[in-house]
Amino acid sequence: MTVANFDEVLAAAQEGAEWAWDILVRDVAPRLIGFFRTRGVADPEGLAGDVFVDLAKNITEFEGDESGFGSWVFVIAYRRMSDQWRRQRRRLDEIPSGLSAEPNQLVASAEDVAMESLGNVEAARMLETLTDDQRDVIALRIVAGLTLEETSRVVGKPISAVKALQRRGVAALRREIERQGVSQ
Amino acid sequence: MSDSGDYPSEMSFKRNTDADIERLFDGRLDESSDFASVSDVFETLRAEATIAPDENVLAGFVRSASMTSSAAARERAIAAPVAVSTAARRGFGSGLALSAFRRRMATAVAAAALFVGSMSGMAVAADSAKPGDALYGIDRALESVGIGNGRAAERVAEVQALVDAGDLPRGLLHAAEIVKPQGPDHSAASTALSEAAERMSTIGSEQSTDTHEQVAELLSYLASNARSVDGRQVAQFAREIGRPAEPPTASPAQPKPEPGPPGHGRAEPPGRPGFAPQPPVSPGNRP
Repeated sequence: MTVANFDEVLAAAQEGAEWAWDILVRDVAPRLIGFFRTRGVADPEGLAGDVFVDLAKNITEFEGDESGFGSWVFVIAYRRMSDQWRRQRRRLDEIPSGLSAEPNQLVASAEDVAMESLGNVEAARMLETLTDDQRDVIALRIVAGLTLEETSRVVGKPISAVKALQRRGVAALRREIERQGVSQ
Repeated sequence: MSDSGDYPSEMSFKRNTDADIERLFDGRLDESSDFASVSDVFETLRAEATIAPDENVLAGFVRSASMTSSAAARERAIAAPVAVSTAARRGFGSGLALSAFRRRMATAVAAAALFVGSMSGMAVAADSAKPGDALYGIDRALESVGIGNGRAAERVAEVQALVDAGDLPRGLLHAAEIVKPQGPDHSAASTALSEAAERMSTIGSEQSTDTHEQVAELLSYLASNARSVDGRQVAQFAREIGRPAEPPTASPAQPKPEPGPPGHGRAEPPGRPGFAPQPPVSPGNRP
């Protein structure tokens, strides 16, 4: 993050100052929407709006520095995203059996649409070869710009587990690149 | 969930690659590294975070966030919550030890402010409470530590409020409490007032206008002499409250008296001529 006088901005945002929120939103929103897009959220802007409302409701409870604020934002974002997927899967599970669409296919198609909205379709396809956990970690590290420790807090896993996910994710990506290189 | 894409020799891979992978994530990987090909994918992803959202979308985020946090701040000001940071509890941010100290201090200060604020507000609300009201106990408790006026006049006003509300028994009981602490001679007056209260309870709603007048006279006396009540005379007067007036004993030698007005034959209330406490003797009027 690159917010000058973060403490002052935070204090003003806690009181509802629009100028302070303008600074925070402009700093966070691109990474937040980029993270959702990378993770295949169908309506990244809409979910980001929900996250900002959550932040605004709870910002008085936040204490910490700029780095802590960044990971707090993504903790809320990650939970929101997980909740949305849970709800989405529950709704799809309730589809009457007479309908042709399989729940997993519907979820996959929503993610496909979102993934294809990524600037680089090739990169999007690369990510599809990863597991959800690996994608979470890579998106938080690369797009959200979080450190290893911050990512560990957001996903609620030990640092060693996050390192393992990174390692396996990178290995899978490298293998996919090599495979594509051979096939071309 | 299974982690696809494991290399067969993961242990050796792990030993040699953690540092390289950190450099890859930080965007400062050597081009000769085994992961150089992956860095292109990461650069593409990183570019996602630099795409500025639409200005209208951003403006909407700003507006909704500032309005929501303003409302939360107003609610906080009203409720004065002692908020402990959930985020800080979970250890976000650096300088956690300092943050924990600040949090404890903030909690203590907020608790003290809440206590003082609620005490002053409560004192104002409770000060006008009369016996039996939910806040009356608080009123007395606050007075016992010097908050609220708690003067004898207030006590008498409380009796008056009870009497005005038609609750003579409790009014008299309260009057008994007022009189009792004034001295050893006053316990008889207090007892008499308590007994009068009991009689009032027995009579119930059938209390006569005369009885109300008696209590009104007693109150008038207490209001004027709250700090120097004549215990003996109050006792005498209280004993008559609520009692049916005894007809004067007719003497065969005397003519039958005319029926008097209600209350005829009762004790004179304190405060009436002859009952009022004598003014203290000052040097100027010493005989």
